[in-house]
Amino acid sequence: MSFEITLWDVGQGDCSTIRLPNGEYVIIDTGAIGSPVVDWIDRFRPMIHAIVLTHNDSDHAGSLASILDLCPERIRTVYMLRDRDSNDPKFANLFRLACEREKKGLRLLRLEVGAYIWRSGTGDTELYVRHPSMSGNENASTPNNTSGIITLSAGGRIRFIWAGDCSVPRVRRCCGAAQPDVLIGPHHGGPRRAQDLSSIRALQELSPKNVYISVGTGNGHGHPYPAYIKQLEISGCDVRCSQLTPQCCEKRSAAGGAIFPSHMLLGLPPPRRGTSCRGPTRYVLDGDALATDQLDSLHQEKITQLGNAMCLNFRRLRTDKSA
Amino acid sequence: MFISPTSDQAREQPSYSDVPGIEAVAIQRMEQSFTNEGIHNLANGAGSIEEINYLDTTNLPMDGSGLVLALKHKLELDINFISGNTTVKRWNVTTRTIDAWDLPRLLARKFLQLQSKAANSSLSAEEMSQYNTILEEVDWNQYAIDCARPHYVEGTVVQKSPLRIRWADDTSQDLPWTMAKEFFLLESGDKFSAHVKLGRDNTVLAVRHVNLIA
Repeated sequence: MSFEITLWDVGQGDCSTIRLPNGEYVIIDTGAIGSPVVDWIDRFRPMIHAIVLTHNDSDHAGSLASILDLCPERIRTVYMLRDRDSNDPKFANLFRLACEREKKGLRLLRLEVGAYIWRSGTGDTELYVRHPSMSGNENASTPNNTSGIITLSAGGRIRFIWAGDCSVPRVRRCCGAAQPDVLIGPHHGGPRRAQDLSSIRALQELSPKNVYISVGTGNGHGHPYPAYIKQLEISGCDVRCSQLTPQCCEKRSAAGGAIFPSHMLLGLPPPRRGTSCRGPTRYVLDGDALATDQLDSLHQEKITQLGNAMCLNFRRLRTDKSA
Repeated sequence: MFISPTSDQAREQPSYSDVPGIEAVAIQRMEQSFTNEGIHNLANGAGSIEEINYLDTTNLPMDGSGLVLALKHKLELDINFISGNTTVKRWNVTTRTIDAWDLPRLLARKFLQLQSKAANSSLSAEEMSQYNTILEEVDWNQYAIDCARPHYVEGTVVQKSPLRIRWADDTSQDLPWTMAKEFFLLESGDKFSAHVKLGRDNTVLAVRHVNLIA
């Protein structure tokens, strides 16, 4: 039973696709308007088992309209939640579109803890929603507080966590001391209160082996936070960012393009914005074995040439510490 | 002497085949590339082993699609007068020298083959290395944008003159007057849906199928 998990480079935003063993796809977040996943769907017309929106911010859900327009007949289910006032245009527009498609046969379901997005016949492999609860959703003060958390479990343990824009302590509360193979984000490498003791402790307990940060070159939020990258790298976790930010190399990040063409090597369309660093990353989960694409060494070579890549600088600290 | 298009000119290549007349421009430019002295000289054996020979075009036609793949620089050729073969360095494409006029098509074919294999995750290690080398020499970013079809988006007309649009993600954009005719029937404040061809940094290259959302 094999899963192909692709973490897309969509600039500042999130998007992942999971190819299920039966060849269908689950899409977790769509990225902003102009997301390359739309071009990919347009070209390959995959059968989409479900589209899951962790929340309705435009960097996570902006391309839903484009996807729904492209191939409504090939999408079974959309999971979404109400993360802001129902009159707020960001929610209202998306909800209207989804409701229009629902009349034509699309299943529109609420993203809520306890939902199985996909489950194998034996029940040992599952895509499961761990956050939010209904009360958590209704009482949330901001959209990020009610962001969905989805996990892919296999062989009795959590392998992947999609944490949307949640805080690290919340991910820890929902997933336990999971030690996942891959944690996505959260919040583009800028989780809320990343330097708080509770956040540091939660990260240590969560103890992910790899973190993929889907961050845009020109984001105006200072993502990813150096303190967060430092915590991760020192604790032995390998960090990969989708795009280069001025914190790593100002000159190269302003140049656009990519430090190496990982998109094309993986057969994926590139994003329209930013300067790609690792670009997209692909994993294949086959039983217990997790394999990555073969582009890590090429990426290492390129970021070493940058001279001041944050991840490498902090990784050296880890090496020094262990020495 | 034939002057091949500069990289700036290459970037100006048509990116939207639906725009009337733009394909004709592309074909004209490609014809200019094919009938250059460089290729003819190569075909007639006018080169020598010592001098560096280049393929005198920076645009590869993608058969049938009306698109071109722009090269970042001219490609170096290795001409073997003994065997009568010409090889494009780093691309690993060889043809008989008298058929060198067909090289742009062969190169485009090679690129498409590798691209297709990458999309099917069936590249061998050797092919991936070859593909990576080729990607360093082509403007793959522009090509991917050129290939992409328009996306469905929704927005609101903020003002009509000059035309300003607020997209569904709350970003605003001024559109050039050439696109104003698409919004002829709309008023300020109207919500609309449209199919939009997006370029780098989500620049709007073309708009069509503008519809009022009730």
